[in-house]
Amino acid sequence: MIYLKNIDKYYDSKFQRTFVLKAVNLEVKEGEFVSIMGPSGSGKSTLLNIIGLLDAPSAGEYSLYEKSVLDLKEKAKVDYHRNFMGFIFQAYHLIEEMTVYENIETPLIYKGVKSKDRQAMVADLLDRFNMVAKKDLFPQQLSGGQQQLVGIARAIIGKPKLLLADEPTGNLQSTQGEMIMETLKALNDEGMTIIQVTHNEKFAEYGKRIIRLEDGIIRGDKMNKTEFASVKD
Amino acid sequence: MFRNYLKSALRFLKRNKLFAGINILGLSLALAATFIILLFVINELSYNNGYKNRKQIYRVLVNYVDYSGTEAGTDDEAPYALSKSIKDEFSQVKYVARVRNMKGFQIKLKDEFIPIRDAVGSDSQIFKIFDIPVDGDQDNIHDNPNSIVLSRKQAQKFFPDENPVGKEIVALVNDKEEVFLVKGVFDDIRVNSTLQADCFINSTLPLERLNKKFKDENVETNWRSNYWITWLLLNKNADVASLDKQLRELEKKVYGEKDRYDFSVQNLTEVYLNSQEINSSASQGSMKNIRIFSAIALLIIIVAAFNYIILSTAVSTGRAKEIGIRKTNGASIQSIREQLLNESVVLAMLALPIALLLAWQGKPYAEDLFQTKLLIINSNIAIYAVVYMSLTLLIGLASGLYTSSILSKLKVISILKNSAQTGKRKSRVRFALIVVQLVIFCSFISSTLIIRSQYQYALEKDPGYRNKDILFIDMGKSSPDSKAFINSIKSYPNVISAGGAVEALPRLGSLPYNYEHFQDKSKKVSVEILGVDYDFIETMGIHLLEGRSFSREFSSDPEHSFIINEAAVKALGITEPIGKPIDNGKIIGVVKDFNVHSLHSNIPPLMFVVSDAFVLQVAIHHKPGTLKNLLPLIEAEWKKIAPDQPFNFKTVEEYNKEIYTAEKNLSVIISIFTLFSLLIASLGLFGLTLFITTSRTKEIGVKKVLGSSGSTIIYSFLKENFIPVFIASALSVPITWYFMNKWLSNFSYKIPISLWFFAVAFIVAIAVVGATVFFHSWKASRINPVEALRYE
Ligand SMILES: Nc1ncnc2c1ncn2[C@@H]1O[C@H](COP(=O)(O)OP(=O)(O)OP(=O)(O)O)[C@@H](O)[C@H]1O
Ligand SMILES: [Mg+2]
Repeated sequence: MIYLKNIDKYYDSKFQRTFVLKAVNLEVKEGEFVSIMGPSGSGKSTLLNIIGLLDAPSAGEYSLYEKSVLDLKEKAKVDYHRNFMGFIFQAYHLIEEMTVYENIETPLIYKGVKSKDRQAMVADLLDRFNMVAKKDLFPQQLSGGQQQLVGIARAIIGKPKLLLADEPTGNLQSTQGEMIMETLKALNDEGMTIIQVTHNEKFAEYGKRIIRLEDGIIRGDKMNKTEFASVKD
Repeated sequence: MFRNYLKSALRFLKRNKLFAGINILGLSLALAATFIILLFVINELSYNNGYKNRKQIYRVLVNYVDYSGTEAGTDDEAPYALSKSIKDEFSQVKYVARVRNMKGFQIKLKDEFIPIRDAVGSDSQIFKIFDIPVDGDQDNIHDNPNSIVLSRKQAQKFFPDENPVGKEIVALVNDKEEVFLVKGVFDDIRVNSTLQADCFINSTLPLERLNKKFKDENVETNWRSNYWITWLLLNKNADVASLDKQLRELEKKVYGEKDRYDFSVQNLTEVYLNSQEINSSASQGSMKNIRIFSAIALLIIIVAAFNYIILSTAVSTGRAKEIGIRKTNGASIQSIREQLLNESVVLAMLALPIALLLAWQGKPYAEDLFQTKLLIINSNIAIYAVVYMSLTLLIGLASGLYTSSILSKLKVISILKNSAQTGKRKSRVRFALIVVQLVIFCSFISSTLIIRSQYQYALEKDPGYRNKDILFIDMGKSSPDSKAFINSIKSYPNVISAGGAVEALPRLGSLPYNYEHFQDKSKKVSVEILGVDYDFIETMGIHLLEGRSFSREFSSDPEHSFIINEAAVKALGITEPIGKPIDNGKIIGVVKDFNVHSLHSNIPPLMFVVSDAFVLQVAIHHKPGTLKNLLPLIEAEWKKIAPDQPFNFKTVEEYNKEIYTAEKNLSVIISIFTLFSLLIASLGLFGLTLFITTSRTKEIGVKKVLGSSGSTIIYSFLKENFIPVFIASALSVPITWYFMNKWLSNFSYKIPISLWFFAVAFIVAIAVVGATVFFHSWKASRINPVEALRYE
């Protein structure tokens, strides 16, 4: 589904060129759950943003379903964001002026889903995440874990094929983090492709595949131990 | 979708109450101010517009032509006999009516006589000309000299809740009590109409009064007795040019070839705004004022619109994050633009009802200020609605477009990384907007100062005659008794001298005659004539340069002696003027030039003629500080000669102030709008600095951790905000210079535009900006860095 070849990302300053990503090759198949790990500044977010079409690589090839997405028009990008992928952020990035319900509903409005259908879809998700009672609260009135749940709900309401999560648990306590991970795992089990960035070894284990990034270079790419175990079985 | 925008606009408003409040308030204030100005302008422009036939309604004007053939002025009052000639001989004229206000007309209610302000003597056709609906018999309404037609308002006053038609009332007319038969009731005439009437009576009543006043003159048939405003209704396709030709013929017939009056007609639509040159007692508007006020309104709107844009863009950059999130959720640039536009428009629209409320509250004060009623005419409501809806829409759109063009272009990733550079470009535009606002503000201040100084100068300049310790008394109808009155006053020890003239100084009217130039006989020189008595020149302290003043000892003085001023000596080219023959006598004295008229005009060549019979105004020169004691004594003398006449007096200072009322009103109005622009601009600046300081809390916190002192922080804020003030005050100089020069060109005597006017504007602007900015930056500089950095 995702195919990156020889991706470079660099920034030019007056005297030098700093590489953030260097010759990154990566293929992700449908249904995978990839965790990206690495020290701070190693380029994890940059890579995720490139995959999410939020940032453009300096060099290399990138295709989705065998179609190059490098020189997409703004309109086509919007289309991918509406229909293909969802984002989850470390800082939640909920819209503070909107209630839980409205935050979740927003992507559907941009997709042009009818009001009746939107109601049903949002209600379903609220139900699934046990947030029905909180639907009229504003983000500030929720705990961090609850806010991130809303973030996930918003990311997946449009039924994206690909879910991109940049340190979704970075701001959470471990129990709340685990709840989020369980949620992602369940989504993956239902067939959603997920790529997450995390600093937490334990949370990385939720992925089926772990990629290690150092100084913009992929130093390791292997199947998860437990995953191996299940494959062996 | 729209509901979504509306909701987020309202929520945004709620979270940013202060900014949104400041923004909406500023806009509302400006809209309210311009609303009132627009009301004034539309009222002025639609004066007399209520008459369906206005294109066919004309007023007869009389141009005075003196014996040398030059025009000497235009009146709106024509001879009584004219209307009959027109009726009989002018086929293009459908209806004619001559009208004259009846002074002193009073109607008895219970046992009291109530004065009627506009009792109009007229002919029945007046109703047809102006198409005024009348209950009762319209055609023969003035059959009988003692018939009267009341306005609805008057009818209600004298016959509450009954039909007055056919009833009788008692009125005081020409100082006699008479019984009048009410023939009809007409619909009240609207305020913005040149024709004003509380009741109509037969035109023979004012005629009788005029005849009494001029004793032997028969006003009815005299073609030189011009006292009647004559209204015509022309046929639909009448040709005014051929009407003019007919008027020429008529003039020839009644006046002969020489020394005549020229008649002309003026359309009703011209009467209000286009009659500056016409001597008329009807109220008049001024196109110049309309232009000045419209310009003010425009400037205020610009200040407010810029303000709105500056503030809302500044505040909405705080929403960059929200926009970024929306983009990752699949919002297109298009839809974000739409959202920001909608929100901005909704917010701007909120200002409308507030502006209306403010305007409504401010209307009575504005009416005082403009000295007219500000009517909201139904047929104009649509204009207001359209103008204001589109104005606010425009402001909302402009601000929304500008904001969205900045925000929707931001890269999502940099927004989410919190490194969004909303900086450079935007702040350059913002800077320009702030500068323009300040230019307007500074120009307002210096213009106000210039107008005020000119007004002050006009009051204080030495006019060349005594401008204090002088009391003017209007003789009114008691003019014949002036000699006795003056003599009786002179006996008081506190009266230094007393003398009379046709007019007080500075004089308002003029009576020019043409004389031959002394060297070049073919050249005519226009010289103003001023009739005075023997003591006026001395009383007013007019300086005699050579020769002698008028004296009772010379019996030839009244007809054959003249005193002229220096300007006349020069204009007529006289050398050794004393004793030189002029008119049917000779020059006996020359006075130093003094300001005969207000400072608007140059000192004209002037010739004094003397007679005890000219006196309409008496000037009394009294000892300083004695006016309070003297006034009751003079009034007592007045009561002796004119027991039933009002005692009208003015000090020379009061009279002078009256002359420059227009300048004073303008300076007051501009001062008020200066305050307005000040208020709006400082509201905006207040909001902007508040916003900038709060959004820089973190930066300031970091700076403080790094050891920056509070005063450095304040200083950097002040510096940043003073730069636009410097630029704006510099830019305001040529602009103000240009417009004020134009305004001052109305004066022959004027102050120079000096730099201190601009210096004051600069200082005020610095003070206002400094105060607003200092307040916030001081607060910001005291931020506890630990607090500031705790977030994030
Ligand atoms: N606009 C930019 N100009 C120059 N360098 C940049 C820019 N944006 C990012 N970088 C650099 O790119 C590198 C990678 O950044 P990135 O955010 O991808 O790191 P990360 O792996 O996500 O780190 P963390 O774990 O701290 O989130 C960093 O060293 C950063 O300094
Ligand atoms: Mg990162």
